[in-house]
Amino acid sequence: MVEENPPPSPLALSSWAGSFIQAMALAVDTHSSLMKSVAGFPQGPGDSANSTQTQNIPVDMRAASQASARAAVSTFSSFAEFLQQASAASLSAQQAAAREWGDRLAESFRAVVGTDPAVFLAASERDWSPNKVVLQSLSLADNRGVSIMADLARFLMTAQEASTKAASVMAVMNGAWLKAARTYADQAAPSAAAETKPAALQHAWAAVAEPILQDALRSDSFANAHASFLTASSRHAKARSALARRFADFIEVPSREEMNETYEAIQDLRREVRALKRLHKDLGNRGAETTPRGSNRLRARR
Amino acid sequence: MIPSASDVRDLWAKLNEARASIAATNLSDIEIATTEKDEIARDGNVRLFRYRPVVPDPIRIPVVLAYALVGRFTVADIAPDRSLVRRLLNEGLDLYVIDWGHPRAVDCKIGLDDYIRGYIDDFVDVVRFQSGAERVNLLGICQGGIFHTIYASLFPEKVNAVTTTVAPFDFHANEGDEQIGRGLIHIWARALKAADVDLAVDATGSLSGELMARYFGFMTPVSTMSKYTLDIAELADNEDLLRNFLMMERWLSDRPAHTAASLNQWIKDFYVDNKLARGEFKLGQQLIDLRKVVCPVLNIYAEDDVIAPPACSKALRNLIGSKDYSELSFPGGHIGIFVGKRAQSALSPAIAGWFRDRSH
Repeated sequence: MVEENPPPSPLALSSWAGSFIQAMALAVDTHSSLMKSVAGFPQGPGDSANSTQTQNIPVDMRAASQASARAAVSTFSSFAEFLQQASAASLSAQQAAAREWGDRLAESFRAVVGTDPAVFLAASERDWSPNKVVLQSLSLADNRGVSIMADLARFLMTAQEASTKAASVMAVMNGAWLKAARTYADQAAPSAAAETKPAALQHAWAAVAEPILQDALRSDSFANAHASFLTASSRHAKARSALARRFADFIEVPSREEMNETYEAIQDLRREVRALKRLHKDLGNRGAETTPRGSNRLRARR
Repeated sequence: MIPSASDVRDLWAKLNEARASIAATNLSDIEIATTEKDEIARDGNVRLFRYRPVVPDPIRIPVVLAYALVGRFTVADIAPDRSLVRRLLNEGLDLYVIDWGHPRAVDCKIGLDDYIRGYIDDFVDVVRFQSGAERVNLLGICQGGIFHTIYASLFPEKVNAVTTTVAPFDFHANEGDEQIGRGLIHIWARALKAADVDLAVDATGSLSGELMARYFGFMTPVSTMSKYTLDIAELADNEDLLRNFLMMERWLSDRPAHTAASLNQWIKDFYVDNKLARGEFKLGQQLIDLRKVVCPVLNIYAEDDVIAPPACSKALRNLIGSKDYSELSFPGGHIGIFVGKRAQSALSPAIAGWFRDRSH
């Protein structure tokens, strides 16, 4: 099932980013300390025992920092590789989890009904099927029970379909994120030794990544994957709604479809009222409540 | 490229400072849309307001402003020093605004026909009655510009002149536009079939403002991710920036739902099938022919607009019957031209001057 999580609040987002930045600061701090202790050892001819003194550290630190920056870019490239593997692994893990989840549900379905959801669904759409006889003989349900099981089967199948389509959308975007990471690593390499402010780093990353991601977003593959996902998740929403309708019937509350019919009727009445009021106005009759249009629907305040 | 440890620590400190400032802000201090106005009429959740004129002798023909359904008109009045509304009032306009409000579940069947031939027509009549003017001027932003233009084709006897801003008319005119990031919604919608839209709207009903906001955010993934994280650090020691940021957030968080019936027709007829430009768009049973728009039309577009690409806006020239058609372009994006101080200083005199010249 595709779940929609509520968007994180701005404060929560900034808090996560803050944690990330803090972790970075800690890492850089640790790295600096390490460099300082390395600088404590004689570095070669001319180095004295007091090379750990503050005035000598910057020279060592510059070289160390440059090496560190080069290492960082190299790490970034490795990270891009890692990202690729992780995203592929995550995708296949998700797909495997969806399959396993679907299989388990299908197994439960089979245990109760004696057949696969897809087979059952196809059979239940006919007037008569052995499955119905099975259900009747088990006293599990009457014809309404068959319909409920069909709704459940449809719900399961559409959930799996929507999961698959969501994975297709993710696949397009994962590829784009990966490309952005690689491109950034390549472009950052020549200036690896240069120090920069965090904001400049962020702008450099945005300048590289945003167009690459937007290029992916405007691609046919994304548009088609998005359209397929939208359709699949709509089918799933309809299937979920059908199940909810069964439950609504059971507890005697109006279903969404019934409410929609009511809303449609209300809107039709509103239109009729509007038309009648215009006719009323055209006939030159003023209502008891004086308004600019002689309408008590459109309440004029001044 | 690597930041120094002290830079990273500074950034962390600034982030904390900015977060503390945001947390300490009293939300009631972050008011938007403060220009004085009075409610003139109401129909359900939809209201008509009149801004109090600030000049003794405003331009005789009043202006009715309408924004899109997916946002609030308050964007035109974000802050006293960044208010298109205030500037237009100072320029001498007699300004009314339609507030579409927040549709409720019961409103899900309100369609485009109800908005245009229902609410707009009712409110235009109210303004005509109250002002004594036989015709009104229409000012539409984005979808509001399309609504007003369609209205002008249906009721030419009630409309003196129309100004549309950042409104697309030919939804397929950006095909082949190579500029990355522009017209993404158009591209995504064109991949849909009419049946897909029917199914989606039937399954989910009205489109929530939150979901629409996610789509807008998705169009600029990196900026959206950094907006509430690294970018916040810049607000730490700048009270004005922080205030402006929170005002925009207040507007962004106030995004109404798009009713199911209007959404269905909007996506299918405009984005997917481009019926308005092809002369096939219908309200109810009535075919809309934009060639019947014969009043003066000013079409304003933003050069960096990613929601309403300039090509889609400029197509209006060849769709209408008016002989008095003008175009103006401004640097900036879809919303930027309304909230940026520099853009406003040029935009409002242009709009007001154009209406003034045609309101004798």
